[in-house]
Amino acid sequence: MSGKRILVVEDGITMRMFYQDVLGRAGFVVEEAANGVEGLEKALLGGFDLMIVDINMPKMDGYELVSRIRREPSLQATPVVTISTEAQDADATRAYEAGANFYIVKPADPVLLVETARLLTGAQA
Amino acid sequence: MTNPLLARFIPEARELLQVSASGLLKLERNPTDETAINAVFRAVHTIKGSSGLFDALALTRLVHAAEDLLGEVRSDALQIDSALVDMLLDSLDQVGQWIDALERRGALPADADGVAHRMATLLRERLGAQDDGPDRAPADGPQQGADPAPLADVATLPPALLARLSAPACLDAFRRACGGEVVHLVRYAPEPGCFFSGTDPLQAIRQVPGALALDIAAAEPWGPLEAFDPYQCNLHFALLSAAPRPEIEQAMRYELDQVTIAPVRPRDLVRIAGEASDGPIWDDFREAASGFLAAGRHDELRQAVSALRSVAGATLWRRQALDWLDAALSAGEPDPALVAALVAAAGSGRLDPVPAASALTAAPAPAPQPAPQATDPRQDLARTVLASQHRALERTGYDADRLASVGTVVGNVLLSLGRAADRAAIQAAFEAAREAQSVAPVLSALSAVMDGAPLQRPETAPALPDALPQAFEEAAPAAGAKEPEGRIAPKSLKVDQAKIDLLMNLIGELVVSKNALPFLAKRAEETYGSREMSREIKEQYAVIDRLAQEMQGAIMQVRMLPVSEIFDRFPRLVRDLARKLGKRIDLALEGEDTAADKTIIEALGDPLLHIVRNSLDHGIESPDERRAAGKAATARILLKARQEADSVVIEVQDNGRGIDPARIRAAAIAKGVVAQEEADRLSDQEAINLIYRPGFSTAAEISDLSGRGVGMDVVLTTVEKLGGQVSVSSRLGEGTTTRLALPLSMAVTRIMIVEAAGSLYGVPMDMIVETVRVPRERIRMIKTSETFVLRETIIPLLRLSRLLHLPESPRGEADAAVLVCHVNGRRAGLIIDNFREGMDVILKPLEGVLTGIGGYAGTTLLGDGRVLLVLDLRELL
Amino acid sequence: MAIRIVRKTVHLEGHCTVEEALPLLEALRRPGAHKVVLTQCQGLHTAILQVLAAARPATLTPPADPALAGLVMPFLEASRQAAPEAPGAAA
Repeated sequence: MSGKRILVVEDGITMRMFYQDVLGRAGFVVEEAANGVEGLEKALLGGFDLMIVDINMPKMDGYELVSRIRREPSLQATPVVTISTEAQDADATRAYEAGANFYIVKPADPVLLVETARLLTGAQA
Repeated sequence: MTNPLLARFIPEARELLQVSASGLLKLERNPTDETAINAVFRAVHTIKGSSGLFDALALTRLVHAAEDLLGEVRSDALQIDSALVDMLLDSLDQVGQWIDALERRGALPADADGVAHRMATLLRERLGAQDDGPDRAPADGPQQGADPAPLADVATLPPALLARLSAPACLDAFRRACGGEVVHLVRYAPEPGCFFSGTDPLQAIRQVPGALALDIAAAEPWGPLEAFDPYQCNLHFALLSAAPRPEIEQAMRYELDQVTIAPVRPRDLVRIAGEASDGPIWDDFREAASGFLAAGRHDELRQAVSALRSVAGATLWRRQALDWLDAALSAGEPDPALVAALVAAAGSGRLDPVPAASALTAAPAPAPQPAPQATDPRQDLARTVLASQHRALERTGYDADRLASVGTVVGNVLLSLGRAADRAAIQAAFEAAREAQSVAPVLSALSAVMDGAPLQRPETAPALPDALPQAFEEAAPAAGAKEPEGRIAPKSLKVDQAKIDLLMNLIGELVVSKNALPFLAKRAEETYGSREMSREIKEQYAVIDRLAQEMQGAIMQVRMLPVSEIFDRFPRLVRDLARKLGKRIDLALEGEDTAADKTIIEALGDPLLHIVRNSLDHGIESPDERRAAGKAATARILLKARQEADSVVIEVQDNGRGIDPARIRAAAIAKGVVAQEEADRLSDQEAINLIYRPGFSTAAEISDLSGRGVGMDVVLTTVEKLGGQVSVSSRLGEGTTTRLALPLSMAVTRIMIVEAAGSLYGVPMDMIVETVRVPRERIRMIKTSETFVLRETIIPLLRLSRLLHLPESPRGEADAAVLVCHVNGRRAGLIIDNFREGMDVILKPLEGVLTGIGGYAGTTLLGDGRVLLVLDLRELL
Repeated sequence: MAIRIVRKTVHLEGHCTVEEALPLLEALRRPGAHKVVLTQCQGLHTAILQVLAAARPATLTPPADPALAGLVMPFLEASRQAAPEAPGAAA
């Protein structure tokens, strides 16, 4: 049990459950937010080791959320993984430009997801 | 269904499909409705993303095609019209059916692939049509397009394509194929407009694993540069991949309908180029090799090949044929036809077509061998992560805000891999970067870490990190040690209805227990003579009463649903029915946010459906008829909800032909619903009300729309069961309005307690008009019935004890206690022994043996623990 | 911007996105013999690739990244050989 805390920001209920399931089983404490605004609010409450952010979301999309996170002094050091169905360079580039640390194409392979989360939070296998 | 993820996906997908469908209908009416297109696009996008988690490629594929189309609409590249809406709705319906199949059987039906391909192709044709791309217009025959159905068993490589692939790559592919690996040819013809939907075909094809050779070609010759449109994709791709088909499909899952995947036969990969040559050695070889081949002496054949290869010039055509022969022979069981053909080629200097003797055996189906794992995937991933940080920093340059997270990531990656030394070095680089306000130190340190020492992970990984210096600000979480149970509650919950019902029951019991306090206060005063204690209890009661009410209100709020839950079904329904009937209808919804109890909302669906269908069937005229009557050809139906005091009122208004009371009278008489003389007595409004009489609706009017022979009386029954009322008003030629009024909540019933025959009964307050005491002498007998006159109206009187078949307690009192009730549209007086207090109760339906007993609405608990029977006056009177 | 234009030389650097296709095309439409330098290029969108194929610049320096070079250069070279003279290159 790593006990590392991950905030998943994703509008799809099934996808949230998927993260909860995969990451939870790997020992992460997973919290959820259903859109960018809620994600930012939760993130500001603090204490997350990693944020996983979907790109296409209502209210505030992933790009916007990531750039807001990078402007928040308390969140600047938090690693952010963006995740999207789009496998294009342009989307990844935009995410990196917004301040993301990694870009994963959806649906993420569970093994890859867990390994990425471990690497980015400094957790052990 | 055992997969909980799928169990979650199914309701989500259904909800999203509903959102999409209603959004599409809005768009059809108002094609520039940006909110609607965004909502539809996002809903479809979410279905696509989530469906990828399941074994439902066909579904993902169809949804993806729909998403692409919607993307075009969203970017204004495509104009939405009714035909497009139809197509999209059909696709969503299909997806809905597949969702049903997933729910039932956990898998898509067998024909799903074909259906998805067909529907996606139709959708994409709309995309193509918009582009006017010449390559999208199939030259000969409808199915003769650039991409044949992706079902071909074996691919043949066109010679032009083969010639463009690099010879060593082909040889490699050939060697693998001969060795039993299945090599697939992946052909990918992206939509010309695909850039607009965010697709980067080059990037997409690069995602395919096991790539051996890639060919890129222009689909159409490049025209003059002046006329070239850089945003129309004019490239086609072909890839040889050693990966298994499912992996390829997975990588190309969003583009599958533009992709063909098929295994390649080794012989089709043979590509020999070089200078011609001649000489006796070749003849000798040919002779010897043919002998070995005929005798099946492969080892000796191999030696002969190897010997000649070492002496023949590498650029010669025949020498290259030997390379291929060598590869063919490297297989465990070489294909004799193939080997023979290559022996002949090396001997003769030209390659004849390989006889198809061993047709289809060339790609045998041993399990494809997984590519050897050269490196630890975790290390690869770590390298990728670090490279991403490098790239991001390089692009953005120095930015203190950015640097922090990169620092965390790099530190954590190294921590995770247990590389303490690198971690320290990197940390120093970050400090240097901050000082110099430049990313250069970090970039070079990152490069060094990535390139220099190979990323190594000590075997004793778990032991190390504790000893590491806490070099980076680790977001040491306060709740770090907590188990997942310690999660903060999410903002919205999906709660099992049974739990809410339990809460509702508990609060009901609290209300009942609270009701015991006034009894206690009374006892304190009467039995123990403590007026002060009595007052204090009453004060406490007031507080608890308020809290209990608030709590009850709060719980009831949880059960409240907006009427949009049912309203949302109607746009689609009305649209489909109107088309079927050849009528033109504009449906408007108002007050969709009005909320009512879940039970009410759920029960409302059917009656409302019935009213709307009735209106469509009988109320709305055909466009011609409307024009003839001087009305707009398009009729209007308005579904309107609002809250009025404790009720939710729903109106269905149409501007159709209205109800003709004369016709209703005639029909009612003809159907034997009323007699002639009764019909004549009825006012027009009363005549209209006849449509709610049982038996009014008959076969003569039952269309397949207006429903299965169920009359409007069902509407009345359902609504009244819910404690509501129905009324209809109509003006001939102008339209009809049907109004349903229902209680906001069914949970709490206000009752009055009455005494009869020595027992207590509850009577629902909404039935009681007033309570009066009638002097004995004013009770008159008319025929056999007792009556009395209340403000010039004759009210029939009934004795409750008689209705309940209880012995009457003779009373010598001068007055009779009368409960004037409004039941079944008329007034009646109920003689009881005495009135008692009113109270709010939670009604529980009769259970067990009591279920069959008529006349009771249910039971409730009194404060002193007694069970109170609550009367159903509709049945009693 | 991943596109840098120095007179007749176009440098494509880093990741070139679809947005850069039009500026690239406009640069290559100008009369003259163009040179395109991909040395620092780390990735390019299909749209960029087809502009390069359609415009057939006089000189093309391959990406330093061997994987990327292997991916795009055979196609670009083949396109250039199909018509060695850039259209309208006389000026």
